[in-house]
Amino acid sequence: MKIKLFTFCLMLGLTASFFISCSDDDDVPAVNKTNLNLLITPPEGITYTALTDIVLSVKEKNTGTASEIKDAVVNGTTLSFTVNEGTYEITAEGTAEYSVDGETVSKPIRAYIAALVVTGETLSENASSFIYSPSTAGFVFKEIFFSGSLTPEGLQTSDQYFIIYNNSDETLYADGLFISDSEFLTVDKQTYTPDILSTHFTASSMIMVPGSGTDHPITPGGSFIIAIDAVNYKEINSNSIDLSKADFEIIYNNSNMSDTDNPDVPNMKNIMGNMVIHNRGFKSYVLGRLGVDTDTYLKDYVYTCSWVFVFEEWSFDLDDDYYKIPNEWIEDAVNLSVESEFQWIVTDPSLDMGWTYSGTIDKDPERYGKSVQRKVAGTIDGREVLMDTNNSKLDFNPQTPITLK
Amino acid sequence: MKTRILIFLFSLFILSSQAENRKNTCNLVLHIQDDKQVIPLEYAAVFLYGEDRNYSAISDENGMVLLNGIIHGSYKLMVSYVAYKPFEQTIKLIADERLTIRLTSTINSLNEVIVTASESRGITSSSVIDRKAMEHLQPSSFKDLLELLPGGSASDPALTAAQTIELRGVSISDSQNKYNTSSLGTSFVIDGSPISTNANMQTTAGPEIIINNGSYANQSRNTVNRGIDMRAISTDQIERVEIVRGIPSVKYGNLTSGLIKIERKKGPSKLEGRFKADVNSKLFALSKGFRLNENTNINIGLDFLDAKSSPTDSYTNYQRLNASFRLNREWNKRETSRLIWNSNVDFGHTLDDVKTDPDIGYNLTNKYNSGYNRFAWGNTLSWAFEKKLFLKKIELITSASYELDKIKQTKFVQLLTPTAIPNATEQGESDGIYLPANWISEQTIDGKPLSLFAQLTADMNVKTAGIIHNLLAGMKWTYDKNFGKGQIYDVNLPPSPDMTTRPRKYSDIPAGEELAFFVEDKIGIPVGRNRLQVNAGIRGMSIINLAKEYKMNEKWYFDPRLNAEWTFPAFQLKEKPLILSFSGGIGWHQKTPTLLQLYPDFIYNDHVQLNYYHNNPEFRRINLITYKNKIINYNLEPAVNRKWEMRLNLSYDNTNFSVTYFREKMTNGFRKEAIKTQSQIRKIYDQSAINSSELTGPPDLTSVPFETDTLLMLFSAYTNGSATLKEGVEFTLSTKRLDWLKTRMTVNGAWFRTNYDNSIPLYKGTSQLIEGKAIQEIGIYESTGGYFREQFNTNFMLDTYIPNLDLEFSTSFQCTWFYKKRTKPYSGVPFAYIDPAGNEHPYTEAEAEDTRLQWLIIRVNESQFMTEKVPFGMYVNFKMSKLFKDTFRISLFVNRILDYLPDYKANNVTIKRSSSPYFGAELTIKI
Repeated sequence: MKIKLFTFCLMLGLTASFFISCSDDDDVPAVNKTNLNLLITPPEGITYTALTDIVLSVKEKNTGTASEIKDAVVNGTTLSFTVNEGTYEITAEGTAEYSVDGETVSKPIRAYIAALVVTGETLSENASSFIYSPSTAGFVFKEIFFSGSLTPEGLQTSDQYFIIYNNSDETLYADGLFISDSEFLTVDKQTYTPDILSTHFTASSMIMVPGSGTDHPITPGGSFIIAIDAVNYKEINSNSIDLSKADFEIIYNNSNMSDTDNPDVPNMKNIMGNMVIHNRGFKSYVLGRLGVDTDTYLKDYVYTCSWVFVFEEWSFDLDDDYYKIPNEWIEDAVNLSVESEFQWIVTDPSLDMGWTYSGTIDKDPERYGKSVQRKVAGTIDGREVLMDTNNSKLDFNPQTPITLK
Repeated sequence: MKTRILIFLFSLFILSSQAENRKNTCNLVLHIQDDKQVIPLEYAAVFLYGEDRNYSAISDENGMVLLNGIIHGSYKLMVSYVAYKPFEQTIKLIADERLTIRLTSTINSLNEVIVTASESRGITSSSVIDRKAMEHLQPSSFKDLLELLPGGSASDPALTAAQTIELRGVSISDSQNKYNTSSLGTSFVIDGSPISTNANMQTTAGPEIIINNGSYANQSRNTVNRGIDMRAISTDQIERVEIVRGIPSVKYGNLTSGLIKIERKKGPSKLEGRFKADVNSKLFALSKGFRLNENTNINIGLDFLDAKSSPTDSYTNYQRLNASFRLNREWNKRETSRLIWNSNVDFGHTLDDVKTDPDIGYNLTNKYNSGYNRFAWGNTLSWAFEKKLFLKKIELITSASYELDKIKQTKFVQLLTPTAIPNATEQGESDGIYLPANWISEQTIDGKPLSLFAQLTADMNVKTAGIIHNLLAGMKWTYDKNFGKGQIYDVNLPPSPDMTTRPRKYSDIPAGEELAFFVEDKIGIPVGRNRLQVNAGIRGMSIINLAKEYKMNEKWYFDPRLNAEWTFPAFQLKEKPLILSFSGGIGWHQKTPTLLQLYPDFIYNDHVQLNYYHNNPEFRRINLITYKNKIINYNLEPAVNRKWEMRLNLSYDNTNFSVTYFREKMTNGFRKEAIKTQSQIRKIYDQSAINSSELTGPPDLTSVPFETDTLLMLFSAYTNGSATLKEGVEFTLSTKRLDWLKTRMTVNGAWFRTNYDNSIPLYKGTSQLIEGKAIQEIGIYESTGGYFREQFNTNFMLDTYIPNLDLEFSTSFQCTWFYKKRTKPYSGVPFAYIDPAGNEHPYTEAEAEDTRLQWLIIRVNESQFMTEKVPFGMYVNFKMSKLFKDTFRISLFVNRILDYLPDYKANNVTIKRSSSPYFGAELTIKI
């Protein structure tokens, strides 16, 4: 609503300025210059400490002249430059430095103003920016609903789902995209030897979108739903939702009773393990594409590790085999945890340096019917760009009522 | 085989009667008793030294010795018994003679009370706990008495979970019931009749429920295949308990690990009321013995216990009610024979009840309620002869018990996701039904076990070369059958959507019928001034109504048992005798499987072939194939425990010391283990061939293409696959009561080492799924880790008795010197695997590289096999009892009134230990 109002005012302003500039044209042929100070404002929760490699593009909307401003002075987070008076569409791209939990991070940012009426000698304006890089944008987790819903009798149902979003500006094919959950729990930190966290993600299971490569196109800003079961959960829980229209469902061809198969919803391919979405939110999720074929993956990507098992006062070493996923195959990662139990994040910080949640204590009854949802960073060409700073703490709205009804 | 045994017994009779054909002979009957307590002394050695003939004999369990066919003459009669002053007297025998000999104990000096277990003076290691010790201990159930055994220590009464017995070992937590044969194989014999648990089938079907975040409601309370639940045995009717840890007489069979002989109060007594209250329970008991006439006594008893799991939890309860009526009557016929008839009628009721605590549970529906009602009638008819030539006693014991047992479990079941269940009880393809979103499942387990027992024994006297043989021969028959309706629930609203069984009637299970014969000889031989006692016997048993397929069919199993004791001549030290004896024994002990182990339930495998979950409920269809299998291990045999032990007894000046080293080896204990695989075929319908938009009803499968899928199923059955090896040293030292301190010290303790292991290869699959399908191959492993446990503890008990004040109190320092546990090393690599078609292949390095088969390796780390050691810890327990006006007795106990539990380091972690005291008090009134 706020955005709509803002757009409306902007339109009104534009129209007004159009008339004003028309009338001015006849009397004053001379071109007035304006010193524009553009303050690049960061997304909520971040404070930029420096801006570098700024590429500033402006386009005068009446004439359609586009130009790149190379002599802008960067002073802190303010860009100062001079343009002719006019109405401008401004795009600033570059790299921002900011600090998260004491560590300095550099991320590509983009600030954008659709139309700015530039007039007078000096004009100071805010340009809100978001962290965005067209080169890394792709599929991201838009929403993860892991907690399930509560029945009127106070018991749970597993009406869980993922929504995957195309955060790029081109049509992408979902075919072959995998989703994995972590073997390790964010509430149980152990020391695993060898430690491969910086290079690999240790996975418990892997599912993959079926298709030959071009079967499932997803337009920019488009999304698809993967349900644990594509069924109308309202049939078994009046507080639940209808997932029968999901785009994909997860099924196990394992002669198991409980797995229904909706004929109208394609099934995710099972690569390994059994994707059981942890309903207290102790596991992390990644998506990406395998760099090798499935058979090679299953044979060669086993991670044998030893770890120290600690239980109450006892501790001893254990050895285990898990599957691992190289970090470079991973396009997006979301760590989930619970504040009262959190111990560590189970991805390399380059994939996700924070974590998000639904439920602040273990078995929090408040978590039911709520999910984690990625924030909208901004809009480009009418397409919502979701925030992806590789820090789930900043990128997600935690514990938010689910979007599917 | 049966006939062979009969011939053997018969020839024994002939043999013995031959010995009697002599002239100028007479018989001597001796009754050997304790002079204070006037109780018969078993295993007293009797020697008759004559001018040209010597005779020797041992007293039987009634303290009786019958020396028959003695040539007339003058003899020196000597009676000796460990820890008693020897008896010596010269007698002239020219006619039949009857003497009662009262021996004076070297321990039981005047006004002595023993408030601990005493090591029995019999030929094998056993502990005796009498009324006095029980009064001091203040028990709530039989379980509490075990504190007094060597190696035992005080534990708080945990009355809301089943309590099974573990003798001579360090127990492990065994939630999968793989090492239960020790408790199943400990026989409880009450007034001569064993309690049978063979037909106990009280356990729920389907996944367990947890109520109030506690443990599994059924798993912690059922005792199926685990033997006796000691909570059900109250101590208020008990006069004396003997816990035979060593090798019992062959008269007692169908046991592996131990024998508990319980004798209940008999004869006239005051009206006694007892009221006990401790932190978690209240107990009330009444008893009285009436003398109807000179020969007839009646004893009645009633006791009630009400317990909670904790004082604040009124939703987890246990109740017990016992009522007992016992009659004993004697007929004496001019001192030639005596007929004793004991008859008892008992009723025992126990109830475990768990309800949902409204403060914890969301759903108040869940509850679990398990009740047992046992009616028992036992009779003992004992006919003792004192003038007969070789037959001393004939005894017939019969008992019948019938139980009405019921478990009621109510469970609210909520589906997580739409789920279907099969609708078939027979093998084949069928359509399943989709379940409602939630329902209330009611499950009733109705058990009505009947057990019958009859035992006929004859005690005989046979003399060969001056040695009197106390011969015992007998036969036993038992019958067990369950007439219950079994597991009852609505199959369409089952306790869980994942049931692998269907309701089963217990009355369909055949009865178990067993026959046993036994013969035993006890002799005492003087070797110079030393004395040798030997007790040797053999027992044969067979299940007599088994089908041909069973290996046990018509097969006899024999338990040979031998005990011997060598007593050195009394050695005078400072004018007091020092008596030293060595004893040793070896014996085999066998326990037959229970009815549930012999006749397990059908296992159902239901495989989904199509789970077509159309958005329109009208068009949904689930199709399954059901396999119904009866998995019986026909090779099941009785579990055998071989025990041997060596013992040293030393007795000097009211001080007794006894130390026993034992080893027990049971390599074929019962356990449920995967032993059989089966390849099962199912279709996987290609549902993409069904056009979902053109359906007018559920899809017709006739034209739907399918592929076949082979599933390798693994089945468990009862096997002889558990090994339990026990080793240890038990010791007891009791000192004389120091006059000036009025205090006596008892030190007992034990070092136990127990190994638990599997004795058959283990079949295991892996939980890993590859491409949506479980890895079907099954690995076969030598071992997946046995358990080593070791513990050494000692209890120092100081008990003070002040007769003038009628006050007794005791302080027990219960020390655990160490406790060690270790997992037996194993490689985790299977030696073979079974492919989905059911063929076995060796598992080599090539398999270890295979995408699927690599997952059969269980990763192990050396540090898993490190020994964990808990160092020294000590608790101090205090008990006190005071008698007022010979009528009121007030007692109290505090467990862990003090403790010493030093911190220790394990794996560089400092471990702190703590404990909290537990206390109770009781009032006893005797009018």
